[in-house]
Amino acid sequence: MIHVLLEILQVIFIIGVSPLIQGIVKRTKAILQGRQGPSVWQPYYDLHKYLNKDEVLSIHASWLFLITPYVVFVTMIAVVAMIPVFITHTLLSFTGQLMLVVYLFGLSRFFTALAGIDTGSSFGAMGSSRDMFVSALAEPVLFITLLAIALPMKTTNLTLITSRAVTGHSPLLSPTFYLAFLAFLILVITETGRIPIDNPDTHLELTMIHEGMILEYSGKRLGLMMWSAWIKQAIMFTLLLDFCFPWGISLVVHGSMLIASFIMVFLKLTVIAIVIAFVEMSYAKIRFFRIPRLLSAAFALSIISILTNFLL
Amino acid sequence: MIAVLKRLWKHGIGTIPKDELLHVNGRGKLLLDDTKCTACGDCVLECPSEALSLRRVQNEFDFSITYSSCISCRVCTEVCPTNAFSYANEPMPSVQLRDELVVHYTINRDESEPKGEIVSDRDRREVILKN
Amino acid sequence: MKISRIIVAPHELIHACRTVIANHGRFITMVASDECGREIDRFVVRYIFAHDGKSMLNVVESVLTESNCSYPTLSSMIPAASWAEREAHDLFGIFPEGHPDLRPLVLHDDWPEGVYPLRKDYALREKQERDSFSSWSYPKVEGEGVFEVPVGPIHAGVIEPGHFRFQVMGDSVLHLEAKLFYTHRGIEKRSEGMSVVKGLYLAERICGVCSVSHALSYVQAIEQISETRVPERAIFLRVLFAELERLYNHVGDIGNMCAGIGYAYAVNHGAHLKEQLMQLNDFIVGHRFLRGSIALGGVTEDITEEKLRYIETTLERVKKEFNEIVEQILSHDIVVNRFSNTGILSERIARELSTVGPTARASNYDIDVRRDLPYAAYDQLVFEVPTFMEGDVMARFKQRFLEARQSFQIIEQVINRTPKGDIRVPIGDLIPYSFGIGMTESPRGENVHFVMVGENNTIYRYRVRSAPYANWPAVPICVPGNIIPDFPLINKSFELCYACCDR
Ligand code: SF4
Ligand code: SF4
Repeated sequence: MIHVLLEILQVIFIIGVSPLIQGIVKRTKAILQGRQGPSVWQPYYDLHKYLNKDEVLSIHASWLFLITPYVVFVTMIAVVAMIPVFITHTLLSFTGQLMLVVYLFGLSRFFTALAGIDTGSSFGAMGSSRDMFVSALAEPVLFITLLAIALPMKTTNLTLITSRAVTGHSPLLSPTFYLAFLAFLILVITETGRIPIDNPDTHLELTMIHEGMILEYSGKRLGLMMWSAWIKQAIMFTLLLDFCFPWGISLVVHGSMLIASFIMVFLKLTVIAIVIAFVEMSYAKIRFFRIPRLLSAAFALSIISILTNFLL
Repeated sequence: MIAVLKRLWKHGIGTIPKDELLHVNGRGKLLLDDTKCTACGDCVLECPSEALSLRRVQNEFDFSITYSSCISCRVCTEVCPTNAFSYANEPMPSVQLRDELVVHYTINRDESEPKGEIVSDRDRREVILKN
Repeated sequence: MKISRIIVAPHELIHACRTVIANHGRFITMVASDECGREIDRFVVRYIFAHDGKSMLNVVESVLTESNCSYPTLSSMIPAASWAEREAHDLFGIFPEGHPDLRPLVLHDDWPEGVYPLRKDYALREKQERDSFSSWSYPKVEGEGVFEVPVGPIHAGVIEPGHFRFQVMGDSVLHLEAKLFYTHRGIEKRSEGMSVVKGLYLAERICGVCSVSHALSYVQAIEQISETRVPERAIFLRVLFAELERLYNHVGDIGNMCAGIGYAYAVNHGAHLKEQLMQLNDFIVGHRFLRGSIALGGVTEDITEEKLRYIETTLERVKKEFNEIVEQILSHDIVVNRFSNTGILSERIARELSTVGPTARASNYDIDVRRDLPYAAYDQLVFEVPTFMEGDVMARFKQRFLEARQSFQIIEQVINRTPKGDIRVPIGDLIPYSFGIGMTESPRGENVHFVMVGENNTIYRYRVRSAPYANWPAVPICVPGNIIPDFPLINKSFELCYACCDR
């Protein structure tokens, strides 16, 4: 019973804390740019504003456009229910789970891309086409990278992977993990639509990828889309932490342990948000047709990681 | 990334140094000293954007400044024989209603010898001098 | 500056212009005017050419009668004349015969046909009924997988309005057509009948960020007509203001170009520097954009010794930081990769379209009014005019950087060399119906103001050829061959203003 409660708490935690992570990224970026920047709570205010606002819908919008935000949001919640945050147990846990995560991301992306095209706006269509281009490359790389992580753990069950990572030999010493970590970091940046792949802060419609697809949304639906994007970002960060820095995730349900791991996870998320902000500030957006090169680097890294797993 | 950090370390989070020297002759909101004004009407005639107007209301003059039209050009401060104008050290007001951008002063100068009833009318785009 | 006039019949225009060009005349602009008030029946077209280095302008004039208001087009010989002729067609209803593209330019499709606002018989305050909006015709590219992407005039960011039609294949641009003049405010019409004194305030407000340059062009034109000799101290101070304007523009643009590639770090630090310069402006003349600094016959305000010293120390600080930032930007390999070979403007096109300013110089078209047709105190100052061969975004970036460095030097010289004396003299008499041409180098290139005065010191005809007006036609030409996400970057690298192009 307590397990189930904790698992539900985990889901609520990620959903609730995801805007804060976004806020931390933004604030860090602002400071690095020499600005004061908005407070870290700003995404909550934004969300509150969006959810209370009226919507403007294109007359060309079909049911697809209308349901997409809900589909995407629910998909994200489903993914959250599968990943270990501060205890290794999750609401849903089974073999092959890792693959389902990738496919659920695929589902949300599929709907977002369709919704981008649906209203007939050229920016939406451009965003969708670019996003498909990027994801056609990113998805296989994500698979291979996850495989590189799953192989040494000998399972695709996230609960098992995490608990093995926590108890197992120190992962930081193995080159397999190093390489997989780097590959996964590139993927985190790709999936969260950050510089150098995409620019989440841009107002230049012509360069948008993810923002282009949701350009036609407003009000509640825009709020949901944004929130889903933040949740996805939190998921990617948590996965990275689970695989590579699993310290502090508690294996047993025990009061003080839980509190410790809770604080630990929160700290780790903050640190990774700051790191991502640093990466974003140090780079500019790369040429669009150069994205494949970046992703093929991730691909190569994960392949080598797999090889080292067999060789070493 | 190292360069980014180095700069942050050197310059801190950016607020621009603000000396007290700044804004010594900033041209903000235009103010009229209605004790000095003699209702001569020179400024109304010279203002390039018809922001000023002067109307006779019985024995008094109604002087108005339209902030939405004023371009802070300094012409009125230069032509005024009694130096009745000054610029405040604050920007032009931002308001919700257009009417709030017009301020009225009542000028009552018995000793003055007005050139006449001066009307600056934005819609007719002309300044009428009547005696 | 000397103006020599050549008056010919309409059918001799082409021949006369060809002769001027053969004598190394550089085409600047064409000015049409309706002069029915003064016993001329009725339109006059004037093609203006500059002789760089000789401080001389050639004006080829021709009178068109009301009954036969057409003249042979020059745009097949001088492509740069195309826009000016289209504009005269829109606003005066005079026909350049044989012009290849007479679609409306300044007035859009909802403007009723046969109504010509710049004719003298069109009342200034008339409220014009509009037609229903018919569709604008764009050249289309056809074929499998070719799409059309309309962008604007309203954009996602708070920027000026302009409509762009891309014909694309995937993300590669095949053709781009720009429709501008959404901010046409009829400034030229408004100025007619205004007193020349009040006209200055209008000229200052043609453009937000080049107001010194516009004001200077205007007052130079008036001073040319009235043969006023501006005091020495005033011309040095004019240089000071003009260079401060160039500086804050170039510094801001350098940061802003990085916004096109999402390098937010450089954008904000550039903005930070620009803000320091603008606060400096505010301090010295009381206006962040330096408005109200130029007066007819001089400058409005003297700059005290204390202020000069303050400028010196501020600029020293800014210069150091500026060099640091640019160095950091140029050592960033993603930036270099995205800037290089993007949006190449070839030298041939730069010359044919008579582009001006940093844009032209980055394409190895070496023109600079400050050096070639010196005004204010530029002939007494030492400075270089950098140029680049490549004509890509990188060249335009470096161009601005080097020019800004020159500006720092010029200001230094001005601070040390400004003589004492008067700052303003009254202007002389204005002979009715004489015209003057004022040219200055704004941060974006040369601004040319043609002013013809009427009776009682009023403006009779005022024509502004701003630098963006000359450079805009070059933008759609250098975009095809690049990809759509690079367009904002290319556009920013030209850094053209819409308002002073549209007027
Ligand atoms: S500052 Fe200029 S625009 Fe404003 S009221 Fe005075 S004269 Fe008119
Ligand atoms: S010029 Fe001066 S005195 Fe005359 S009306 Fe204007 S404010 Fe009054």
